[in-house]
Amino acid sequence: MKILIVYYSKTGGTEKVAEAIKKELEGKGHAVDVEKVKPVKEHSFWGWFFIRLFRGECNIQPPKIQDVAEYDLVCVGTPNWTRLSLPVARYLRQVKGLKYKNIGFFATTTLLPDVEWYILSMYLLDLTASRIIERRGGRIIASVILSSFFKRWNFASEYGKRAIKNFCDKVETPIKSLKDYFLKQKEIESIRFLVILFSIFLLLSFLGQIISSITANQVLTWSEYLFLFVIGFFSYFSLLTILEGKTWVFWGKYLIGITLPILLTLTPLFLAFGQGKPIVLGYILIFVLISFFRDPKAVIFTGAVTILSYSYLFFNYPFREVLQPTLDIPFLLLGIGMISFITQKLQKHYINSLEAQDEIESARKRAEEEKDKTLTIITNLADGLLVFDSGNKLVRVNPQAGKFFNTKDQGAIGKTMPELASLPKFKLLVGLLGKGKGIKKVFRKELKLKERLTLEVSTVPMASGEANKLGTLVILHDTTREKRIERMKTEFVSLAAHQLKGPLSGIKWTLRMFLDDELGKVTSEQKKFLEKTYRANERMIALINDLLNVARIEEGKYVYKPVPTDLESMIQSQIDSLREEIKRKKLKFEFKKPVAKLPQVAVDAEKIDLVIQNLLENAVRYTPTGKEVTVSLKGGIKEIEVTVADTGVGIPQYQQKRIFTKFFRGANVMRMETEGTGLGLFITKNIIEAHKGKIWFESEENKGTTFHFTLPVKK
Amino acid sequence: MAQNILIIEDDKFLRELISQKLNKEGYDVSEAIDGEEGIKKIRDEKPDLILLDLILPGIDGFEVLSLMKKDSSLSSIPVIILSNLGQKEDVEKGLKLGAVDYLIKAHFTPGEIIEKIKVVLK
Repeated sequence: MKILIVYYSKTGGTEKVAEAIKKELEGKGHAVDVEKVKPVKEHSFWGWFFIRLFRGECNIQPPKIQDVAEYDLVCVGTPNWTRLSLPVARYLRQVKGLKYKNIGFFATTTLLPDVEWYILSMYLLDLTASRIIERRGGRIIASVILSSFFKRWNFASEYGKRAIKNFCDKVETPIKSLKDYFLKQKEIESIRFLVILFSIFLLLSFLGQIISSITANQVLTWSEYLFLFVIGFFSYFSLLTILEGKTWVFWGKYLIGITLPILLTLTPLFLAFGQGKPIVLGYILIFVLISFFRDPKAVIFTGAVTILSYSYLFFNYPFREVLQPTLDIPFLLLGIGMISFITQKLQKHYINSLEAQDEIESARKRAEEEKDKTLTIITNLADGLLVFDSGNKLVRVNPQAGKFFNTKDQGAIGKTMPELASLPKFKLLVGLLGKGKGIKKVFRKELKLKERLTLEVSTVPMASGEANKLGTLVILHDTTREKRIERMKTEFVSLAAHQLKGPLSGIKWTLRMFLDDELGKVTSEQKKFLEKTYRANERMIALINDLLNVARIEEGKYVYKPVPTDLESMIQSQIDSLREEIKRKKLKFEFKKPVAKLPQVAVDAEKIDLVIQNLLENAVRYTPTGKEVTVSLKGGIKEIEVTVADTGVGIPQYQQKRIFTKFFRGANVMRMETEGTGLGLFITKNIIEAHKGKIWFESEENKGTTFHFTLPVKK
Repeated sequence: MAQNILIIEDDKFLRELISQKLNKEGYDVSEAIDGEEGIKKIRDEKPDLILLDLILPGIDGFEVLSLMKKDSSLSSIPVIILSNLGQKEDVEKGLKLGAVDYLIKAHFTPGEIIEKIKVVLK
């Protein structure tokens, strides 16, 4: 737990207790901060007295810690003279974050701790402090008082150490239920109040007895007085032990309920009454007193004891004429009934409000926990997060997003998209998400923010239930590293492919020279092998070229330079270069040309040539001997369409989706022959789409495939 | 008199293959293994044709080409670029700098190269 100890110490006594508490708590593993309250001007003891009398409060130097919200527990300490408590009182009145805070209260006194409680002063101090604290929303959950003068009860003594340990144990444990806490607290306070009244009463009665015996006005003889005094002291003492033990608080009510009526009943024996009314009223007063315990049962019990003792009085003592039982007893019964009824109602009402407070408190705690959880998630997310509320105002920038936009200051908070556009740091993002009032829906769009920062931006709407729009989340995923790795890979492929060309050229030339008999006589048997090797080498060269093309597409270096091109003649020349293979496979080849000559189109001739070459080669390669291949060229107003239809092996249905992906080759053709790089269609599709054309196909396994592509007509 | 061809190529294997082929066809062959040596030999020997690779240690083929075209005594010598750099930009650059042809090593056989040489020297 994070704990704060706040104290004011004039003579150092309170300071020593504060330090002892700090040591104890730190020993338990908590983090403890200390705030020493200093009045603007230190005064002497009697100086404080006058200040309290005339000003009622004092000024303190600005404290280090002005907001205690972050602490789990605050311990407040002051010397036990209410006038000396002014600095701490001032601190408590002005500090922030006291709401729902648990407070431990400690004090030092020059006298004996227990005595202090019952000579009122400690009670007053407790009352003052708890009133301030409760008004600010906090609550005192434990208190301890030690002596600063007497060694036996100071902080270093056995008594002191145990008291401090108990105090620390108590402040450590969080309160389970507000209701239980308040009920217990109120009960303890009520008993304490009564005990103090008792002690005052006993003192005064003792003084009165002495004075009356000196002035020879004795009302009671010493023996009678002592008899009463003993009863009174007995009750007082038992209340004391109950209070100190803080156990059997429950029984305290009943003990008082017996003691007080009996005492009251006995007083008429010693004091002459003209009438019985004062006694009856006295009983009613006692009932009201008991009702402070908010326990109707205790009131009824007290009432029963009262009736009994009243009857005893009536039957046993001389001045019964003064009593009017026919009036008194009904009056008493009425009093008992009403007071216990009111008490019951008050009790219920009180408990209800405590339960309501309890529920509110736990709901608030749950909400805080959820909020903390969410906040932790948002803060620690590896991606950047921008949160916009339902009014499209930016309400949160998480730390990672702050790093992206290089903004720790909150100047962007509260602004809408159009307003953010004026901030230089956010300009690029606004460009992507739209300057309008709403936020454009975006999914994994790339945004190059800085030289070394590329982000993938996605927007996600936040809604509660169906219709309740809470806002929008903008998620920023750093793809710089991914992009860099991709680039490195492509560069490597480029480099490697390029380096391979040299040796492959050497091999090609050497094999050619062998095959052309330039390196000595070679048998036809040997030539067969050399021929195969030559062809394998040619395939490698073709693969290298494809890899280089793919790498350049990915690097974005595939530049398209449109020139006016005659597609018809381009297709024709490609067909011509395949003439041999067409003849060898005895394919029925047809080129359906349009009747009227098509105008030239602006396309990148080199690249479109590759496309036609790829499609024609595929058609010829994958059509078995004797079957047909048809190429058609159609011209329209908006676009030109080229169709290459074969009657070959086709593409299996389940693989048709992947036909344009890199390195993909159909399962059926892989079994047929191992030539082919799988890159041709990938490159082809790229080229067609870069020309803003479309490419598609129909295919059925073992029936054939027809590829179509269109190119927009641009002059 | 036999015609003199200078080949500027850093790859030993390829250089020797071409030299051997050229010798067989009856040409006198001179070799240079980098750009600087190439320039020197162009100046000293004034060959009838230059086969120029582009990727060379030190100064590259483009440099060699532009340097010799600047020198009026050398600019008339025909240059055939023989390189594996196949991109359109490279071809255009080479031709713009004054090369008379651009052949990609991996796409041509020695015989085809000889044919091209014969055409240029005609």
